[in-house]
Amino acid sequence: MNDLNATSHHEAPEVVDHRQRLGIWLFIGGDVVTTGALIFTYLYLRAVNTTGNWMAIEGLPANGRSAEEVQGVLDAGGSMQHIIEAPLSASFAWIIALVMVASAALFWFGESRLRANEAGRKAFVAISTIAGLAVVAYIVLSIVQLRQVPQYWRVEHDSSLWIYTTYGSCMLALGVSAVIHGLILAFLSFGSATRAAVGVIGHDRWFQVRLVRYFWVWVALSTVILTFVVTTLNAN
Amino acid sequence: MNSTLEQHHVVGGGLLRRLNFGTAAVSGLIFGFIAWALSHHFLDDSGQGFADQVTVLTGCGWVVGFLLGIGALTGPGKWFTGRDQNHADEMYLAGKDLGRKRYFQYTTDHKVVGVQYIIATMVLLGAGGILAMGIRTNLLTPGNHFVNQQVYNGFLGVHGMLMILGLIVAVAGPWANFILPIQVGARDMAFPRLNALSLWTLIAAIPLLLGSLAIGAMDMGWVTQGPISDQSGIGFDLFAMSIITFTISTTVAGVNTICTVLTMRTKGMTMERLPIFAWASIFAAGLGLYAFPFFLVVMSLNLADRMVGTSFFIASGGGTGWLQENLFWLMGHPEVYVILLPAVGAILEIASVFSRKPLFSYRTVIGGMAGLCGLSALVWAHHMFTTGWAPTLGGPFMLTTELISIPTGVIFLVLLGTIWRGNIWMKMPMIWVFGFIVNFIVGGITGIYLSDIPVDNQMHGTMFVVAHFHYVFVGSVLFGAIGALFYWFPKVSGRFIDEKMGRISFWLVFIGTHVTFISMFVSGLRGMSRRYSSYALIFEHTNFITTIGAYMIMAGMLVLLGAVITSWRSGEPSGPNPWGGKSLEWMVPTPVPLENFEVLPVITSDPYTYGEAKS
Repeated sequence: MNDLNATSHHEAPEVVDHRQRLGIWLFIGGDVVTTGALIFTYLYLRAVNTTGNWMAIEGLPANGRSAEEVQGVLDAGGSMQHIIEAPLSASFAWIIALVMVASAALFWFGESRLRANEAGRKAFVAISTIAGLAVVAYIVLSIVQLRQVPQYWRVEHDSSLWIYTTYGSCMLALGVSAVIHGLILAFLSFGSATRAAVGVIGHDRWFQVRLVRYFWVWVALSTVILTFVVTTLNAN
Repeated sequence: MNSTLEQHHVVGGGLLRRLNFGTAAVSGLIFGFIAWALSHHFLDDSGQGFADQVTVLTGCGWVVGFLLGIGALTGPGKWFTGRDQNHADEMYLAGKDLGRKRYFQYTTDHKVVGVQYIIATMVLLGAGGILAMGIRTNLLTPGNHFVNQQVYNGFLGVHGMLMILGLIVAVAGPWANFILPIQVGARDMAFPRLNALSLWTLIAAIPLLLGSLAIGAMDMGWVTQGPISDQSGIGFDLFAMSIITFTISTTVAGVNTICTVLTMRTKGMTMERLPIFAWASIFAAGLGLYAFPFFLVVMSLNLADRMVGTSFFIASGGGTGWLQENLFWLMGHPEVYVILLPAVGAILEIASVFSRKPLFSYRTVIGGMAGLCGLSALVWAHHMFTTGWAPTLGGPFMLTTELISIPTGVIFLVLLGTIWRGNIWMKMPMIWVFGFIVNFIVGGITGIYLSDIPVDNQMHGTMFVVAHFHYVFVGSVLFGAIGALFYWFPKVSGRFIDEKMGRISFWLVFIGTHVTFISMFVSGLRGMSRRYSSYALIFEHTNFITTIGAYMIMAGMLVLLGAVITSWRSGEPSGPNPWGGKSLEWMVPTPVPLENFEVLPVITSDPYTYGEAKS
């Protein structure tokens, strides 16, 4: 029979830490599947290349133009052009990935300073803020790249519409995913800096910082993997 | 000074203490309206996808406003500013001394969340059931005499998704929250605030799903087939938004369940002493963590195709509906077991207690559950046998689908072995177990037929398939869920559910299930396609019988609802352990105190020691 009056209950910080670590690993597991689904989408569409529309498409580049402007070009006798879409700049993509990796390394370094001694708390505040700013740069660069994804004005039967090729569609999805991850990381990095500044986390209370680092390293790793996939498997 | 501040906090202070379901609803509506107005102001109203963009942004406004209004974002806000909640805040959030008010608030106590899940489940299944009655009434006779085709299609899609969501949370929601922490000897779930977040995120998703009906629903069924979903009305946008919101809810809930079982077990509660319901819950939660991200991705890509002109599933732009089907069914088949496993766990608990026998072959059933989870990720393409996708893979997918009947059969044999020669106590929970056994055989065996490509080529897209999965979902999962409700209701309310009304309900639902779905099998075997709003005269008799059976099920469910409501108010008192159970939930008083245990227990044996000498 079970003894219902055996021990009193007290949770040590290590126990709570163990629980939270498992929690973050499980969340990362869910994110791995999400990222995997996006990679699957990219590779599937690249492999299938339905109607030859992976990149090439018959249409008028419509980036930065309104519907009226595009229609004006067509009305003025402009013709639909057969355009071979070029992949987005690989070097730019690797620069974005590099920024993310650098921010992760920076945060990890900040964490090591925090754990080293009490004086490391101030250093952590500064480093975490800089890492957060690097993430902001990552978000901005990702948006810049998103805006380079070409969009086409396509006439179909009796209607016309803007359209992304499947390559462009995938780049858009991956870019939005990058921005969302960046926003989460920005929240976590600036939050960590604030908490360290007010003394909620410090030399002897660094568990949460490690959890943030786990997620950050995963995001950096996934950025590298995704960049590798889209820069090496993009041949038209 | 500090104590004054503390008192101020408890008695009057803080916006947090004024938030409840009402403020959440109002805030959600306001934010939804603001998002709607802003999107009208800033977006190009002549642009493609404008209506979809407005609808999605309005839906986002509703969700954010609702979560703000219930207080779900207060915690992250405080975390960010370094002002962690104090003990008084934690106790307030746990619902201490708040009486019934706590059931309408962002309460972190797992027992309150469990009760809230019971209500949410009833709403989901009730709404889905009403739509089912609409569908069946329309099919009573050929010719669309009840609703037109557009409305019928909307009923069909939203009914499907309401029932799927309802059944996903029917057992895992109420009982993995109310019962599971007590079963493993914990004071609460691993992450109480995330627990409340998962519940209120689910509640935020429900109006979106129901709202999709009001603005035209969607006309491609719950599987949201890719190219068709691109042409659907704006109801689809709210539908997809509700799914995206729901996947966030289940992910959070799944992480919480796994962490609770793996890290919150009390001393002596080894993995080999875990109640089988706890095992089933962590398997289901783990499988959900794998499956639901696919749901999130497929719905997001669907929305992108509609809103911004991407071409994921649109062939003219280079996409393919096969991608949509792959992504959907990568989620869709594991999801069946996410739904089924918690019900199976509850059924096994009941079987052991009411047969007064130890669980037959404890390790084998755990192996069976693990086998189900592993194989369920490898069978998705059997839903696509007739689509023309990768015909050469048909054989392997047929094999894996047939293999999955082995762990399913193992679990079934363990259930029979547990009951075999037991001292069976035919109270209501056990009666529902027997209903489960009968129905699960039919649902399971017809599934094996459909896994064979030659048979599937004939049966795919017919009412035979509909009857098959309804035997699994209604006949098995719903029976398991109701059995669990009868079993654990005394722990929630301190009262039994009325036995007489329970028996009336059982026989109505049990007979209704067979009348409904056997005649539906016949319709399918005679060639009637599913999803049609009308049919040829040759199918009239079987459809008439099916509709009569469906009305019987609804009558039974209404009797059950009446029994639950009246018993909650004035049922026969049950005491703390009415069934003589040996797991920890039966060892604590009823009503269960705030943190469950005065001091944490030490476990020295497994919870199924019936018929053994006292240790």
